[in-house]
Amino acid sequence: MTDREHQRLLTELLNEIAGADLQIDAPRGIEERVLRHWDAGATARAARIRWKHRTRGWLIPGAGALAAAMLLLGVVHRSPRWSIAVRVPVAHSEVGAQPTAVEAPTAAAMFPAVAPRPIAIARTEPEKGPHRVDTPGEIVSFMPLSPDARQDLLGSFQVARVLLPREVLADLGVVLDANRVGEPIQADVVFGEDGLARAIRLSNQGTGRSQ
Amino acid sequence: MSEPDLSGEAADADLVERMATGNREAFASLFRRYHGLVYRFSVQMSGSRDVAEDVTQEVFIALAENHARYRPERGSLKAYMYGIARHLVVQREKRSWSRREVHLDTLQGDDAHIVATSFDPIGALSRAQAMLALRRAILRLPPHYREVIILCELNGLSYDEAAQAIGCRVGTIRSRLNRARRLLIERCRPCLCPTRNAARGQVESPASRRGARILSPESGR
Repeated sequence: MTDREHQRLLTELLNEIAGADLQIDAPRGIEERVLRHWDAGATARAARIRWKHRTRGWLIPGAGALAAAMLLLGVVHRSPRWSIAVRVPVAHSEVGAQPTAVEAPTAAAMFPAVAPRPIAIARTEPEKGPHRVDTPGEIVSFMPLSPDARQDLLGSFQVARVLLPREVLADLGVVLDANRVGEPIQADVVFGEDGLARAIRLSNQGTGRSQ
Repeated sequence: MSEPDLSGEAADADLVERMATGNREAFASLFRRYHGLVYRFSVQMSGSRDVAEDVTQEVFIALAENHARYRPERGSLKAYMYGIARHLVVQREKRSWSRREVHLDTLQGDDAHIVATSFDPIGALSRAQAMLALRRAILRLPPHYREVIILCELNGLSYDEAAQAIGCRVGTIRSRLNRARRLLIERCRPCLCPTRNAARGQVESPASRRGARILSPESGR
């Protein structure tokens, strides 16, 4: 027999089986059991349907509001406290021919007339221990050595205490005392990040005499 | 106000919608409309009326409890219910730990019911035995081949409906059906020549067989 004949015979037999299986009928007990199950679950199902209808109006907005409230609480709880801190520059004593002492004045102390207060609002972590703040002792105004000194010193800078020949005071426009020519004068020089002097403050400490 | 004249899928969708609101009569209508199909398919798939009874019951319980899963736009309710029944039968087969025996006595066309009523009693007898052999061969097929034969050849589903019930592409149905038919021909080749068998007197007696119990399709591979 060819494959086509086999296929034809198979189709005929399958059709006969399909016709014979039409007589297969389910026992009546199934319907009773299934409907009994339906009746048993009717109460719970009705309650579920009622709940669904009742909650349909406010479920989505309510869930949204709840999620937003939880999100807000989480943000507030996790964010650090906002505080006001004074940025204190770090002082270094690595510049200068004869450094004697270093202090860290603020820009406002250096230029009280023109400099903005170096107070910034910053997010800082809560302090975990005692915080030491270097307080400058005697604050004397610095003289800017360049027109943009204030802007240049908004970043980091270094202050060095040096001894200068008294003649350099003439370059700063200071009148020299003829009796003290040749004596060195102590000064605090502020250097910017590029190493150039930005400001100077004359001091009588170290010499024992005021200019 | 009279009921709207609905038929087919529109009526199914309407009945499901009413059933979802708790209408018992709608559920009963769905049961009466489809329980025969589901039961017959389950018998054909499992070879057992007991299994088919359980599966039919579970199919309608699943429909009552999870009716929201049925989406009319995805396919007909008939395909949906065939899909549930198929899934349950296959799950039962997977769960069975050892080789399960299938009672072919429960199937129509068993040897005990073979009665030659035509003018060609030998031909009719061999035909009936060929049908029985074919039933056994169908039950021995792997589930994915068996289900396409049963859905498309025995229950007359279109390829589209079978694809919806099984959850695969139409091309897959075609290829599986082709492969399943070839497997059946290979396994039933002697039975597909009834006239020759009858002429040679090669019809087996019921006593010479293994009886009315054969191994399940899982073990028959």
